[in-house]
Amino acid sequence: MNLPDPKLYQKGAWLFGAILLTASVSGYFMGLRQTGSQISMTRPVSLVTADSERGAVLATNSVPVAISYAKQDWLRDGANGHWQNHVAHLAQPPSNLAALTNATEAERAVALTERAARRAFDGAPPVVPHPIAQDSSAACLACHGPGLAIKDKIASKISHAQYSSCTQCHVPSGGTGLPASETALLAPLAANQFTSVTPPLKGSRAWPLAPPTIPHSTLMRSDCLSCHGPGGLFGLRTPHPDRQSCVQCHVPDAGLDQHVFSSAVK
Amino acid sequence: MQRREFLKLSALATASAVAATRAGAATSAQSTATAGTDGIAWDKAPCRFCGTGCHVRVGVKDGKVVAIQGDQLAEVNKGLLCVKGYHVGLALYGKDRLTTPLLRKNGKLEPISWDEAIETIAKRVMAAPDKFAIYGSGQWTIPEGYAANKLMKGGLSNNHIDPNARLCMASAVTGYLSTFGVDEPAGCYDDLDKCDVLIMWGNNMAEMHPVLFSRVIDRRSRGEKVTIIDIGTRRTRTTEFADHYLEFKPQSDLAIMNGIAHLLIKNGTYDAKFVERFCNFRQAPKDPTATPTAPLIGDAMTFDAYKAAHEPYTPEHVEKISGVPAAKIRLLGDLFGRKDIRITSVWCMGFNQHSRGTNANRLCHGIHLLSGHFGKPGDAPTSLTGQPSACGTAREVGTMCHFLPGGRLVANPEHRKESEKFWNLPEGRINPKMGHHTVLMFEKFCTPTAKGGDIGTLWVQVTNPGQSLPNLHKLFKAKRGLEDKFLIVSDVYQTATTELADLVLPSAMWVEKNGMYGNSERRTQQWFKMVNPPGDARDDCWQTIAVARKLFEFGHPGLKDKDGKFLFTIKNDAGAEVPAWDWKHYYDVNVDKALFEEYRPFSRYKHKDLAPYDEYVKARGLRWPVVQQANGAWRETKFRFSEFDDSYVKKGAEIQFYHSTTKDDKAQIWFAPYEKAAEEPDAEYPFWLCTGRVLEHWHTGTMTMRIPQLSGAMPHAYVEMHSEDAAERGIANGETIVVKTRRGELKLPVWIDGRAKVPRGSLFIPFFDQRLLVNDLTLGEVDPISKEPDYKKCAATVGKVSQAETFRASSVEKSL
Repeated sequence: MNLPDPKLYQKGAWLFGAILLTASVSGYFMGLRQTGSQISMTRPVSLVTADSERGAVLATNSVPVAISYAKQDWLRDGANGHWQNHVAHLAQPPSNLAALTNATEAERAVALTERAARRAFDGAPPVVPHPIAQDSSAACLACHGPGLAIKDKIASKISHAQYSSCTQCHVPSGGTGLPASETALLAPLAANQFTSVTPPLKGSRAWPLAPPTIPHSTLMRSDCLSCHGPGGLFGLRTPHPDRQSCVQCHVPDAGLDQHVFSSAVK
Repeated sequence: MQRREFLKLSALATASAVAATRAGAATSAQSTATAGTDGIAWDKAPCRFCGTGCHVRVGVKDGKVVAIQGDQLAEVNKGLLCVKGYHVGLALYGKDRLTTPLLRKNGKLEPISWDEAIETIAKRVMAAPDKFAIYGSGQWTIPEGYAANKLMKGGLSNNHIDPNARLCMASAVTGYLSTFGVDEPAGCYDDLDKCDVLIMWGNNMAEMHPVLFSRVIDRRSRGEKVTIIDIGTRRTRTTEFADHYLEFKPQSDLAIMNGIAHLLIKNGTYDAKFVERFCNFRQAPKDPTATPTAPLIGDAMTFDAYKAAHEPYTPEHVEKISGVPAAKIRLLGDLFGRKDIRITSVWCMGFNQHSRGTNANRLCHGIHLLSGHFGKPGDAPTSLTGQPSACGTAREVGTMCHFLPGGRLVANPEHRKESEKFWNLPEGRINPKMGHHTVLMFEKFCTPTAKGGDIGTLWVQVTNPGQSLPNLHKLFKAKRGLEDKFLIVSDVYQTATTELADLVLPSAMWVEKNGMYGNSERRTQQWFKMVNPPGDARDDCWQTIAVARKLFEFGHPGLKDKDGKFLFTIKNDAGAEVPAWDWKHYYDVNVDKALFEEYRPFSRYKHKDLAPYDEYVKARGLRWPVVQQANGAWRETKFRFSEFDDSYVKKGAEIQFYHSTTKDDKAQIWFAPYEKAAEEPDAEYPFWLCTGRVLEHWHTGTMTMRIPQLSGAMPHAYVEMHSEDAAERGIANGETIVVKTRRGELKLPVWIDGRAKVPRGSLFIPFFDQRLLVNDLTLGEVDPISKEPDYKKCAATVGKVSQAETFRASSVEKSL
């Protein structure tokens, strides 16, 4: 058996070194260039190991690569399998912004119905559709601070972050959450006949392609993307969240009385 | 047409449409309403609920309130509200609004006409004018309270008129009076923006005064530093935001404050200069019965005696009494000893509903005065009120059994004479004898006439004593079966009080009528009627005037002034008399304005100067004294007694307590010892029972329990219990248990680690639920000076309930 030519071996080592150097240097700069936000904004990062990668890993005898939790059977087939609690299903990848389109009329109607159901009138603080931690605003902000989407459940991002006592205005619709409340006590004393005005449907456009006006009051709504961003109700999402200055093109509708009383009043 | 012009025109059109439901032409010109093209007309009003006094914008369309917004122009709330405030408009629209007068016939309430109702009342009064009493409210508007006060004291020479504020703010009143010689806080809400330290004494501000609490904690969002100290008997939502939580044993707040004074003296950190220039020392009088005001004036005390009295209150001793670690007492002592920080103290029912409530208030003022933390923005002891006009109506109009308007006393001959002059009454008309305070009034009403029950007819307006009085079995339910007693209730819904009423009058509420309120910070507010009341409901103020007129027609001599004219003679701008007692003509003139202008001169005596009515129309409230400037403008006062802001302080005085009880322009620093509670836990009743409120419901829940968003969040009352106490008794979370005191028992669900966390050996039950009346259990014991009951402390025991029993059987009284 012939030993390799030492010269050739040396040449190969040099070549290998050069490749390594090039790869590490370029990799280093590529790493610098690709910040986390860029990745999330432009290329969905899948938590699931792609099948091709997985296959490749299994086919070689190299160092084994950990399989994504999402692929493990104990999550899919265990006792709690019916909960459908795959990480893959729970944590959604950031939206592919490029793929967003205008919501259809039907989708918008669904969203508006859901929106109206949580408010006594347009402008009232929405009630909380889930049980809450009764003694902690910090618990609210754990999800609603940054905004969070878990499967089809969306925790909208707070749109008035300067106010920190959440339960001052937002109360749960489902009672105290006490485990065994007597049903007799849950019935209201009497019905209420309050009727509100029709909630805003959509803003008006000066002509077909003009940007629509904002059909609702903007008081205490400092972040349009709380509702209209990728974490908002589906039918209300903007198709272009990449344009960040919303009020550059959309202004409150002239029909809304948003001015602060007459000048005669102090 | 330009858009601006169109807006103006449509605003005008809507404004005039609204005005049609309003007073006459005179007031419609003052309309503050504006309207957008969506057809909603917006106008200003203070919120109907608590004493914070937020302003809301009320959206009206087609004669109905359709929306509410926080008023951005309001200094109190700056556009923010709490969940109750945002839903206040729904309070008008509960399906079971009372819409017609009801008289009990053969045990059943049956509809009658207004004429019959008014005549029924007048006949009862004519039959026994001295056995008639009015029980009013801190939710009375200023003109409503003023009219009732004038009818009773000026018309019937009868001082049996007291408001529910007796159950709420009476100890704050006696605290202010005995310290400063004049009622109500010297500071205002601006202190909340300036303080470095906020101390909440037994005060769950996050739930009870949420907007004021946000005003402080939101400063943190802006990068400001404010230290928040929660001194309480249970962990609440307020505690979550606190830098320090000091949990004390009920009643030991007295010892904690004495401990602070002890440290200020011992460390030499009290403000010697401030004390020498501006303060005296006082203690309880040897003979409290010497004069009617003796308990408020007290006896003089030297500084040495004051020092000696505090000697025992070392941090270690205070720790033993209160359970608060000595180190935390030192922390408070050190903070008060610092001159480089501003400290604001706030309290509400923790101090006031206290068997030593007057003393608790005094001691808090005392440590602020002793340390010099007074009179600068951010340095103030301030009591918060629970009702929208506890200050404006109950305290300022003086609808209490011992007051005349403007801080005057019925016992003082000079004050009676002045009041008679203002009211144009013959001399000697006003009765010099104090009337019955609330607890006594109901005790007498519930006692058979033959056994000395000297109140036969009681008219309740704008409040719900059948739920809010303590010890209900004794003070309210005992009325049942007393045939000759007659209970009249003016309200908007059926309540625990109307259950026993003989005559029910349907009232207009909030923006269904003109009104004026006065909030916690001396701010007087005004609003106009915006919608019509339902059915045949009418203004409380009209009801009072109509009864007065009927008495006048029946020939009661008291209803005539000294010129023989009717006591409530109201004229329009042209000077013509308007028959305001006739409902058809009630809104021909602005009765509120007429009564307010008549009341205004009363306000000058204690320098609580009120501005003309029209100034309040323009403002989101003004804080008195409102003083007219050389240029004619009206200027409000934020910081009373401080030269830099209060124009009644002598130049160069810096601080002047110009109503000092010692007549030397000084405030009084009181010594009061720690004393035990009226009832404390023992072997038989081992728990402390505390009662109170929750964020979603306002007081007895009459309005808020009918608002789906609020009752949906908090559908029923519950009892808070410590998890270990529950575990020891095998009680599970949510289980229905029985809570028992010496006065009654109640079955309701346990909530462990829920909204708040009580320490071991403590229970808490909110009082909003009319189906689960915790006041069947509470103690009727009152503070000896203010006559305010202690709702926060009594002894109770708990037990399991067998499965077969439901709490419905016990909560809805067997006697119902």
